[in-house]
This record gives sequence, C-alpha cells and structure tokens, in this order.
Amino acid sequence: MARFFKNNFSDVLITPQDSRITAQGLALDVRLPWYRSLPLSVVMPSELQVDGQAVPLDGATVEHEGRRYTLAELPEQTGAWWFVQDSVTLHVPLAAAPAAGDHTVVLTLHLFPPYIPMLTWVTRGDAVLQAA
Amino acid sequence: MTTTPAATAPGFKLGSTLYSFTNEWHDRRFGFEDLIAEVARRGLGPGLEIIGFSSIRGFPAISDDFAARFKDLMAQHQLQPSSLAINADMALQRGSMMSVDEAVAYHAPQIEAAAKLGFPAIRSQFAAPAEVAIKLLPLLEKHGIKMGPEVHAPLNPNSPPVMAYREAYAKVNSPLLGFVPDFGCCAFALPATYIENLRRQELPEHLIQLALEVWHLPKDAGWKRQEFARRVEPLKADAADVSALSVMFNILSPGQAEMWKEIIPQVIHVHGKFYDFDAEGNETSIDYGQILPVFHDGGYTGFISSEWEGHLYMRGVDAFDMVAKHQALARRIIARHTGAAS
Repeated sequence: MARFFKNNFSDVLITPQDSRITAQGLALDVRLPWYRSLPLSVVMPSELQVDGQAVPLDGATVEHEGRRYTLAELPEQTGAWWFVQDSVTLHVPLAAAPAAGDHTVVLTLHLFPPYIPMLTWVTRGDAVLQAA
Repeated sequence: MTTTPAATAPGFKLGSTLYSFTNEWHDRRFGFEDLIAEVARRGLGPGLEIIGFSSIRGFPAISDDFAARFKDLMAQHQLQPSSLAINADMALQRGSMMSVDEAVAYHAPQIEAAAKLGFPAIRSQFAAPAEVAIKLLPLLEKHGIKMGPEVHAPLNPNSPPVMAYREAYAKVNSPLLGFVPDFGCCAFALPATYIENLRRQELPEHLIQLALEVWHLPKDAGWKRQEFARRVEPLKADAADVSALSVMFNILSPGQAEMWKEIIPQVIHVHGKFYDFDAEGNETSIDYGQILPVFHDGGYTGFISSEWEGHLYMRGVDAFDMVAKHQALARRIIARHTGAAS
C-alpha cells in the first residue's frame, strides 16, 4: 500500500470490529478524527479505496443518531452534532459483491475546524475487513 | 532585607486541563467522571479546566442534574473549576462566517454554561472579532465571570488580532476582559519527538529541513506558514505531507518569555503548554525557567493549566505522568526562584 501520512487519529478512524463488508456494500464504523465534538456540516468523507481501487462515494450515506444523510446534505447539517466519543456509520454501495476473505479499506476524511477557518485537516485511515 | 517580587508575590496555582488526556478520552478508556477522579487521585489539581465541546454531550446545554453532579465531583475530589474553554465556531456553516450578532448568540449559551458549572473564567478565541467580546461584557458582568481569548502560536501580544482586542479593551477598561497566554508562543525549538515522528513516517528529509529552516527564521510567526507554502510549492510535494509539516507553524512559534510582560495585568488564565521532557525533567522546546518567573513576579495569582499536547503524535504514553512531570518542573522552578525550600 502506498505510504500515507498518519495523524494521531488515523489508526482509530475506522473501527474494524464494528465495520462490515458484505454484498450490500460497506458499513464503516467511523470515529471523529478530532479532540472535540463538531457538527456534520464541517466533515466530509472525501476518498475511499478498497484493495487499492478507488470506490465512488456518490451513493454513500452517513448514519448519525438514527438518521441518514447523503454526502451532499452534510454541509447543511449545522445542528447535527457528532459527539467526540461517538461513531457514525458510513454506508457505501459496492459495484460487485466482494470476494470472500480480507479486504483493505482506506478512507480519507476532510475536516474543517469551524474556529480555524484557514485549516483543512485531512485524516487517512485504513482497516482490514473480512467478507464472508 | 529588600523585598523582591520573587520573594513576596503569592504566586500562581497549578492544575490540569482535560485536553491533556485527549487520547484517553477519545479512545473511550475514561469517562468524564473517571478523568476527574484520576486527576484528583494523582494530585494533578487543584485547578480543573475542561473544553465544553469535548467533555460535555449536548454542550452548551447543561442539565440541572449535570451541573449538580459536577459541583459534587469538584467538592468530593477537592478540585477547583479554573477555566471553561469555549469555541468561536465562526465557520460552522462551511463557506460563510458568522456575523458579529450571530457570534454573540453563539457565545452566550457557552457563557451561561460556565456560570451554571461554577467556572470563574472562560478561555475564548481570536477567531471572534473584539466586538463580539465587548458585546458579551454585560453577560459576563451579570455572572461575574472573566473571559479572554487564548494567545496561541503563531500569535504574540503584538500581533494584529491581539492588538485589536487590546485597543477595544482599553475603551471599556473592564477587569473581566483579559487574555489566556499559551506558552507555545515562546518556544525555542520543535520537540525532537515531533520531528522523529515525521521521519518515522518517511516524510522526505529535504521537506522537513525546509520547514525547520522557515520555523527558525527571525521573522513574524504568522508570516511563516505562508512562507513555507511559497518555498514548497515549486517542489511539487504530496499535499498530505505539506499539510502535516504546516502544522508545526500553528503549534509552536519562537518567542521570548519577556514578551508576556506587557499583558500580565490582563491575564485571566494560562495554558502551560508542553510536549516532552529531557532526562533532567526540563521541557525540551519551551524554557519554563524563563517563563514562570515572569508570571510569578508579574503578580499573576490565577491558575496555570498543565496542557500536554504530545498526544498529537505520541501514543502509548501515560498523559497523567506527563502532567505530573510538568507540575513537578513548575514547583522546582518556583522554589528555586523564590528561594523557598521545595
């Protein structure tokens, strides 16, 4: 896998044991890569790779406190707060059912701290998930 | 015997900010009450600072039950609330910035939260213009709470945003409006452990050297991040690598301890920023031996929160141990400075 810079949250971005890869697609348990809670309006999953191949995020949704948001809807969610100790689930459809066995997932998430307007914080994290 | 400020000043008080325990909190290894209990158990008070948006679900809404429980915890553990760190989330809506009135409305409930929890001081942020702070003064007066933005790297007391606040403050002359110095503004180097982390991740050495060269330039720290971007642009480096290196300009900047003297009378709280210690227990990038006497002799009697930020790149380190070392260093320095037995 190509080298990517890891910040202090990269290794905990995806929780493998709470994530799934099935014929329905990916359900990634994602942690907020920041030290304090933020609204969904300032986070954006930006890139996804499975086994080194780019996977489009067009049909992806974020599940937060029982509600689902498309990525296009995220910037409007100034009132939906992601508590720093909580996970959200990133649901991503896959073009084909994954082969049985291990799959390496690399997720990139952009974060725009609302009190540091010039900063874009990029977190890239990986996980190995098993398809049945 | 001549009385000197060193000998006669009552001195500041120590404490912790829960920000130091970010890894423990983020990893869900400790709950809110667990962190407070551990701070008390290891003698890392008496001051306790919390970041509202980190520690409290639903902040700034504070239930009566939560407030009562928090006050019980403080009494039970013999800790004193020192500062509530609040946020000026001016860009909450991506692509736009809050107006002054929107910012005032965003800050007000956070100030109410501080009052409900019993905090005497609030750490605010320069992201909000000075006008916001001035408009909040009546609310601060109602509750008798002090508020001040954190003077954090790459700022210093003479940076334009700080000067704007100093000029606005001079017009209203209130003891409730002040500043929160962060010692990361007066560093002399970057921590060796921080640079080791960049190398361990195989960041190209020539980029590391370029960033360090710019960091050490005898120029305004606010200009350096842009200068680094200018110098690195023709090198066509990976964007994630450039971003990772740019962080160094926002966490620590070179400065002298004396720079704080002109605003000491307006200091309402302090962030004792630190990263790592050498074998003798001295901080490796910030000269505490120079800085603490400035605050002691300048008559500062508030709290200094031990603020460990090594969690940005260190894991597997006991944050409570780091805070204990920091407070031991502070006590040694003040004992030596005042000639008191330690």
